Amino acid sequence: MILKSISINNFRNYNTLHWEPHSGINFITGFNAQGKTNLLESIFFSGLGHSFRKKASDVVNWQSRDASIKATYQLNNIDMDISIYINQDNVKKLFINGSEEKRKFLPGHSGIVLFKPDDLQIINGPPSVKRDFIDHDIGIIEPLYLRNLIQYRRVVEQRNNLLRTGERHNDSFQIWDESFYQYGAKVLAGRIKLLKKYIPLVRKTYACITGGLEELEMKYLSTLRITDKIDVEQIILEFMSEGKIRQREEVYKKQTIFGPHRDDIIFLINNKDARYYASQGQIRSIVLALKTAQINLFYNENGEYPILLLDDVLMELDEQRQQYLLKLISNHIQSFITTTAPVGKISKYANRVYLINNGMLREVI
Amino acid sequence: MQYAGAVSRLIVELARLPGIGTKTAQRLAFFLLNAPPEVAVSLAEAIREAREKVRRCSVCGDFTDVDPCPVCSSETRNNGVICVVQDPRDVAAIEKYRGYKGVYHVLHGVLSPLAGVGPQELNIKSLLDRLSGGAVQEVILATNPDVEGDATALYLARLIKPLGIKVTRIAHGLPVGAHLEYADEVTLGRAIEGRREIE
Repeated sequence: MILKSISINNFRNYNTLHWEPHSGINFITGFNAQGKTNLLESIFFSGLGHSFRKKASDVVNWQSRDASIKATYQLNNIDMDISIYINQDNVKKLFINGSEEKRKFLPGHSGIVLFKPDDLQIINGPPSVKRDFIDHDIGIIEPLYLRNLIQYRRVVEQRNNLLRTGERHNDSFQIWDESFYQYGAKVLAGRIKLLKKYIPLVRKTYACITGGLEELEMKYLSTLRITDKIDVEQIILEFMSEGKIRQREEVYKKQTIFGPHRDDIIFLINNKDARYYASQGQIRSIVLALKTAQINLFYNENGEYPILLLDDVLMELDEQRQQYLLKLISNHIQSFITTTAPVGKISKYANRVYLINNGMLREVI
Repeated sequence: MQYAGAVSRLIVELARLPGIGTKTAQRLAFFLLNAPPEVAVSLAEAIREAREKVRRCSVCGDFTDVDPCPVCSSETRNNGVICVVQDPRDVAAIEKYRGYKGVYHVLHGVLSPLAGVGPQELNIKSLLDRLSGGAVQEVILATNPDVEGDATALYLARLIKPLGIKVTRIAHGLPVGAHLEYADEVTLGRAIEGRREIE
């Protein structure tokens, strides 16, 4: 996928901007608070219809009533025109090639890979961050998985409510148990299937990044006993026996205490838990491997490379890892890299260098 | 802004209706106050009459102004097949199809602990009474294909199957006349799961 052009209006600190980026590596430089991340955010927004920031409600410039983003993507050699209008209440209207469409038809699903500073949380943050990464960033290639996940969450919510009100004796509880087991098994099986595709790619890229000196292991820790064979029926049986064992504890704690919404993922470098033993550099390398593997996964699924957004992370890597990443992406992955300035050996990888100054973009190389 | 007592009461009452917020309630209230008196009186009369005359059918639970309802008392309907739906609106929807010759049973809701709805809150006991007569051969479960609708269908299936009555679930999948290329993955997934052999 390639972003051919983007026009933004009243988005964050931008009044108007029209930009035709290079189809290779674009460096976006500038001092702090000039709009580098906002520009990446607008690209992300045009591809997915939402922001990557937690506080996304104020994307509209504070002096205006509404914002718009227009973008032209090239996908399988076909142009796709996207227009998104956002008003002050964060209500969006979305058009693809002139007709109003739902967000799920935007090209960014499995077409954009974003690497931002707080992604280090995927390695040493709480389990929910890790699950979210697998569910949303990787799960995006399996729409059915995402649907099952939404329904599973709903069932857990319903079941928790029964546990909270102490109605475990209620004769409908058995039904909520069964729904919980069925959706839970589907989600768990789906997640393991995703990881089976994804983990080998991660391990391979990590070995490349470290020149084969370190071995990375990515382990899924389930609250249920699971075997290598993914069989939904088998997992349902596992849910049933776990349900019996945990029954008293659940009544006491008044919530659903096992299932894929409680599972964790850990990373081991040479058999040592990365949360406790990895250096900052090693953690960055793992995230780099995760993102690179994500690019390859999307390529395997779609037959086309995604675009890559790197928000303030390149300069944090050491020179060898910068080179590794830049070599990998040069020539076939359109990338948008924000930094204060590309220095030394990496500037030769830049197809274009832009400077942002107070919401104005200027080509410098 | 404060309105005179009667006006503000009217707005509050209108805003209780589903899908009506305060702004819309204000518009409706002022429409009624500005229109000729007959408009408001006839609306009030229609609401009062409907409320007085319409009640739940003692057999199927659907809304009706004669008891039992026209479907339940019809000579031409097949009393051996009962289609279970969650809402009177669903009866109207299936009736439009005209091909269904069985009778209905309206649950008036679905199981949802979050909304405080358990089996006791639903019109299930009278369904079991109807089934105990022995004349029913099939129960079609036509609750919506969402988490709560599926759970309710499962609950009913567990209750009814031991009685030796055939229990079926409506099919889910592609809308008729739709093109495969426009269907979303999830609908297609359900359609493929529920595929049937051509005879």
